[in-house]
Amino acid sequence: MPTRKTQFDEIPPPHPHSHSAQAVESLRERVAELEKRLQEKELEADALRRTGHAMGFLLDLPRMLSMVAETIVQVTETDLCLIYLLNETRDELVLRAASSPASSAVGKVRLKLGEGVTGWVAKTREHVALHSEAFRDERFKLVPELKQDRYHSMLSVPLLGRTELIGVINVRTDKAHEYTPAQIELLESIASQVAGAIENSEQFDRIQRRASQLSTLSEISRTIASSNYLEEILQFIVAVTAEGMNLSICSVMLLDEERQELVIKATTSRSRAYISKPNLKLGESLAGRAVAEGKPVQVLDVRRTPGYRYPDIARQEGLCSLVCVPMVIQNRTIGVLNCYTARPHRFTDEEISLLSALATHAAIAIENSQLHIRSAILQEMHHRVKNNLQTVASLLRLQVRYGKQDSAETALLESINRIRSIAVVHDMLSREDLDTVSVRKLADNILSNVAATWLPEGHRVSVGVEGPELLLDSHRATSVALVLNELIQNALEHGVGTAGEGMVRVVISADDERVSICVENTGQPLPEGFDPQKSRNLGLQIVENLTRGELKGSFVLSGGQTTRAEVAFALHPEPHP
Amino acid sequence: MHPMRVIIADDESIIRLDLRKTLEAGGHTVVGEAGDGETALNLARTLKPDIAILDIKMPVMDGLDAAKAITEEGIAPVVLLTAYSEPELIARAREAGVFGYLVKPFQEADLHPAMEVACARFEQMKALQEQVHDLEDRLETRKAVERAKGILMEKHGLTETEAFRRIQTQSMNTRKSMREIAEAIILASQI
Repeated sequence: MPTRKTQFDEIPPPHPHSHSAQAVESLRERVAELEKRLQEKELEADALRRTGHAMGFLLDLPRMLSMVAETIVQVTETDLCLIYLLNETRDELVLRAASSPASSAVGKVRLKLGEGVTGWVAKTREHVALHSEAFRDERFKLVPELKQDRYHSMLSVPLLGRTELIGVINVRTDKAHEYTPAQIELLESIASQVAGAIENSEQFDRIQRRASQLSTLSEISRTIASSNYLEEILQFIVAVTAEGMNLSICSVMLLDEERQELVIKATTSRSRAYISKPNLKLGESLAGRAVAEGKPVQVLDVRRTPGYRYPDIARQEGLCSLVCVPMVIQNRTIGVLNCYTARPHRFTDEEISLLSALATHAAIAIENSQLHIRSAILQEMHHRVKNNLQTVASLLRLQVRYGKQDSAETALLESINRIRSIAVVHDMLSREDLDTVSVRKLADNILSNVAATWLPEGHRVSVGVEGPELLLDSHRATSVALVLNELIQNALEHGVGTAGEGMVRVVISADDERVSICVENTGQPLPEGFDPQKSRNLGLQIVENLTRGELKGSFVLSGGQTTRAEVAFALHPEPHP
Repeated sequence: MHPMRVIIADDESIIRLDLRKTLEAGGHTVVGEAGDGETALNLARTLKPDIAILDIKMPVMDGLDAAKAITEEGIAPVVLLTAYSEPELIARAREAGVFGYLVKPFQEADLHPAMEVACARFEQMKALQEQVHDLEDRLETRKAVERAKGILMEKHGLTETEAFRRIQTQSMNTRKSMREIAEAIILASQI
């Protein structure tokens, strides 16, 4: 925030060699003058503090403006305050706040640019002070909605934002009143604060709109795969803050609750050294302290602050003052907003309260998006569970239909293995915390499961899996698991058979385009002219259907000394048109 | 229950296989299988099945959109099969004109009644649509004849009964409907 020029500098110092009574008198006058100015300054400081307090409610613009209007009436000792803002098309001023008793006119009074004294101020962007009989001014226009146009004095100042006019603030008194330059300056400085707050609150609105847009647009699957859009929101927040507060770097660090570390999630810095600086432990450095204590921490020069962790980076990047504002939501601190300036700057209470509000907004955005992700995951899980239940129910029903000639025990064991092969995929997914599964590990697991079920004790069958660790998405991995289960079971049951000796192995191979998974076994060869498509074997029906359906691949069964059952499919599934 | 020609769509082939076998065991014929909504819609258009059983969550085009198109084109009743049981989806299904809704995991015992009810309601709807069409036609005829009568009465100074007779006689002589005759009279009067 730029410091305004004080009026103390303009008062001429007393002559150094004057000892006369006149000189004493002039000194006394000067003291009186100084006292008066001090009083005005105090009043101004008080007004700014109070408006700053009202600004703390800036999440709610109408409420903030009406508090500001009441405060202005008090500190300027006038009778009425009116705050007009430009409408969206920027051609009309709309009364947006008024101190009582005019507050009922809010939203009802509209003035064109140039219309009345207020419109004139908006057009010229210069203040107007009318000390008495304001209605005689040629610019005056009667506003019937305000019902009390019998006022005498009026002070009207423009609300100027960073680049453009936002509105006009008026104060009035019922009796004649002389506005001093100090009073005019006071109202102007309040106006500039209010303008800043309005611009900020508009930015908040934009952030909120963007956050809700993003959350409605986000697709469930994408949300689970990554949390990109949260980063987008945070990036937006730091960019807006840095621009609005004229910071050289603004960054958001979030608390990793498990590790008790602060991790940089968004920053306006492009410096590699800054972005890749190590995580902070809770309580460590200034940001860590702000989070641990739950209140803002500021220093004038980080390069000379003993507790600061990265003085080298600060020197390199030209960073000087720092304020770390904790991001709090429902009494939980979830991270910290770090704001660096290039020059020494003492952050005022107003600035810190503004940053706190921003930090709260960021925290809300984060919380929302996390809730959103969580509920999306929950919904997706619910859906997957139900779909898997359907698959299990379908497998069981199919077993009943196909396995009429099997013993109840065989039917049960086969069904259990199918369900277990699906479970293996889920088990691996939950342990790896990823949405992909290694086919090799999958084959290992299923092979040992099926072998334990079908091979008699003391068997001499060698089993093994060969090939690379190939990663597949969970959906196709589930299909591969069921396919492997059937092929391995066939190889053990019909191939190696009851002999209790021989070899069963799974060979995985893949190039850039195709994947091949082959189950080989020695022992009993395939019957002459065996056609898997005509087979009434449920296992082979499952393999056929999954290979053609989910995997969009081919299934080939070939005989000879070793029986080979090969499933081949494209490594990358075709995107849907 | 009479045997039906059925189209089934689900992106999981195991569930499809189960559905096919369950339907076949119930005496129905599965004439088409699809793994996505678009294929299901195309199959429905070409095969004109008695009923379509569609999963909601499918790639390319979801079951709800396919169901909507199949119903709007009056091809067949649709029974939706889904893992979802959210009220919102059921509402969307109703808007799509779906005639039955089965929540996964479905039971064989639920499938056949759902199909039967869907077919019966579809027939009912078709009958109602025909009735509405018929009534609309009759209403239009009435309106045209009234206007034509008025024109004849005014032009030829006839009574209402005479005017009606004329239209009726003309209709019988030319083997055209009274509505066509009436519309011709109205048209002629406008020239």
